[in-house]
Amino acid sequence: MRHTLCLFLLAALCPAGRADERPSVGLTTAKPGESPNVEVRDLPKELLARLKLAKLTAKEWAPIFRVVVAGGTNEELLARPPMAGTYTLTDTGILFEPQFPLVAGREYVAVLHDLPKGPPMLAKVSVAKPPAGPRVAISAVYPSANRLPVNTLRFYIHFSGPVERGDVYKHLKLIRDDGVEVKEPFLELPEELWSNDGDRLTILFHPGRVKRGLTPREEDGPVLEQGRTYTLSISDKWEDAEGRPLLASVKKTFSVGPPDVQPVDLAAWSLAAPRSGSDSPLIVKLPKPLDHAMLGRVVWVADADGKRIPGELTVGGGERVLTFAPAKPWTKGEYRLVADTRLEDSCGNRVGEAFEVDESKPPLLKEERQTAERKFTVR
Amino acid sequence: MRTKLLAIAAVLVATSVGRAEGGLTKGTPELKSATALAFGPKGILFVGDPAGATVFAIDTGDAKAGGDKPVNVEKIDGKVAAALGVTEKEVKITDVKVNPASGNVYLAVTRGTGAGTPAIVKVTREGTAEPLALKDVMFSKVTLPNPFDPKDPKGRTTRADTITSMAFLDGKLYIAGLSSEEFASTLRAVAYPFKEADKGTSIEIYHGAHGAVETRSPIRTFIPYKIGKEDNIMASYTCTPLVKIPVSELKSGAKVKGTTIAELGNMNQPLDMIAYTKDGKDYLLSANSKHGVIKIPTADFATAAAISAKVSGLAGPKYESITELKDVLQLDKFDDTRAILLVKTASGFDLKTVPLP
Repeated sequence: MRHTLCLFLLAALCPAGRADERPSVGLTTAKPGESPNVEVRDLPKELLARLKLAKLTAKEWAPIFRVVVAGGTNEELLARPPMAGTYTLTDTGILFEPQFPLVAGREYVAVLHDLPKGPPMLAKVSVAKPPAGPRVAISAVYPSANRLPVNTLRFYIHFSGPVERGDVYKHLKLIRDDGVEVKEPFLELPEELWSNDGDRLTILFHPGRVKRGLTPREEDGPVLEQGRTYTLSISDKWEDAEGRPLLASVKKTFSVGPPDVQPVDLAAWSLAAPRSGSDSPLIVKLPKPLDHAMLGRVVWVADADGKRIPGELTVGGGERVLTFAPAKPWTKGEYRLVADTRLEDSCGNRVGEAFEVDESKPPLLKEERQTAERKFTVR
Repeated sequence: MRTKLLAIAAVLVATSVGRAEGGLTKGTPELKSATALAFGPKGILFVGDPAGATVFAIDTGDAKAGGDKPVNVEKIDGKVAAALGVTEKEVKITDVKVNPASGNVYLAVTRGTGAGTPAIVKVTREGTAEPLALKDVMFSKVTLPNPFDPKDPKGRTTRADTITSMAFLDGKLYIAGLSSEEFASTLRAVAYPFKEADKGTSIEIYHGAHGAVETRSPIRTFIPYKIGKEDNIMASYTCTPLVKIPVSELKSGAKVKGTTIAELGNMNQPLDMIAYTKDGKDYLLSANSKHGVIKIPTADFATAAAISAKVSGLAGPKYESITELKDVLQLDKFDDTRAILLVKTASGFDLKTVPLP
């Protein structure tokens, strides 16, 4: 190491004109609420003048001034590549605007070389972290039934808040009733199938072991066997966004029934129409559970002209009951309960089309958006 | 000085107007995520942003051949993390692509442990990681339609299609997606330069299993590949078969079934794929979770009968396991004789340039 290192710990900008004539380093924001920048003030005048003449590129700045993630030994710190960002000279020093915002609660070190006297200056900076919210729990696992078809394709795991992503499969185990852990039951997608709000993860059983006739199933066997019982175990070692473990691990035990190879059939749905003037919900009973997420999203109520009625659709009863509460009381007339034909059960059977389709039938030309519907009358 | 600056500004304006004709305008592409990359002509980088349901075309301005120095970077995740101001635990590299115009390597990265924020990182020949500054770049975009829920007055949807793979061929960008809800595969073809009105065609992909049934089959990874004179998409399904799909069949609303070329067997997941020529023969090189990297000769692809009987073990054309290449998560062609690999190691991830086997 070329210099003896000395560490200046500065939480905020120090007043100008320090007795030791060393510059100060701190965080500044251009506008309130914006992500902070790192600023060096009170550089020695000679150095500032030299820098003004030099017109450095970002690459040339790094040997003179850089900001790095804190941590490790001083050697590691000094060898660490700088954060990407832009450097500008101010009246008395340097302003570094990081390309990616400083992470709250993390320490960064500003490294300033080329001071006329003494070693390079290392100054720690950090952005205060807001207090952490409540710890995260697993709020639901779907399908919620305790008996699932042998050809089930997926689970949804719902969380009460954001959790750590990347390598999520290590937190999941599928254990058979004899205590044997099923080997690699899930499709381990590096992208991971998260919902847009980040609170739901979709887990797919390895489709090569669910679909019939494929090598993975021939060699490893199906993931689930009819007549047996399994437990999906989700570990509480899974960390939330704050690095804390989940509130509790969750075990979902289910028995395995015969395959479901039936298409979704709206004709078999039972509708209990509400009375006019009431705001009581339309209640729909389904002969079999359907996909929790899709029921809540691709089913709606329309009037006789096909105009969508505002209201709240709720999925319940083990994904076998739908209720639709209108925003305004019902008026007399004809209505339609509409479903996108891509509505599935959790075995991939769609409206009018089972998951496994007879190959001998000619291929269908499908419409981009197709719907099925049931009419009901409010009297 | 001022005159000089004005002159530079004038040139910049002229450039941007010129590029705008190609559909690109100057601005900041607001990426919400970045899971897949592909290169188009002249250093145009396509970025698949599933969270924003958008694909961006960004002019990297990186179109000058960069020489033949290999890119070998140990612990690339640490270097990327340092540049992004986080620790290596907080970066996730989801795609690795080589810019054919320059030979530089680009990474799609997520920064942060939760949903995170996206970054595109260029890896120079010297092994430094440089996040692309996306402010005031020339870009265009195409929004991918959400097939569901357009009527939701609140516009809310929890469904997210992840973009698993993209490839550019003859003026068209092909985008393979996987839904977080319905079990389906959509292969989308969008003409480039993008036109706002043109959302491209959407094709449902099926797989004919042995016996008499077929099922919807999400595509895990794919590449365009010519068999004889016919353009094909060579795709690996999530359920593992390697299939060919003639590009001519990819018509809007069509239901397309891939022809199974090979089955890669048990406990296996396809990860990434490239095609190359060596000693006058063509091969596919495929990274797989179980079989490591495998090399498949393509000579019989045109005539290979679809695998239609039950098979035990590995079926289809004979392939060779490249045993020295282990734990490969991503691969791309570095040049005509070399490949770049993203390899998982005990201490992180390495980028390695290796001769094509």
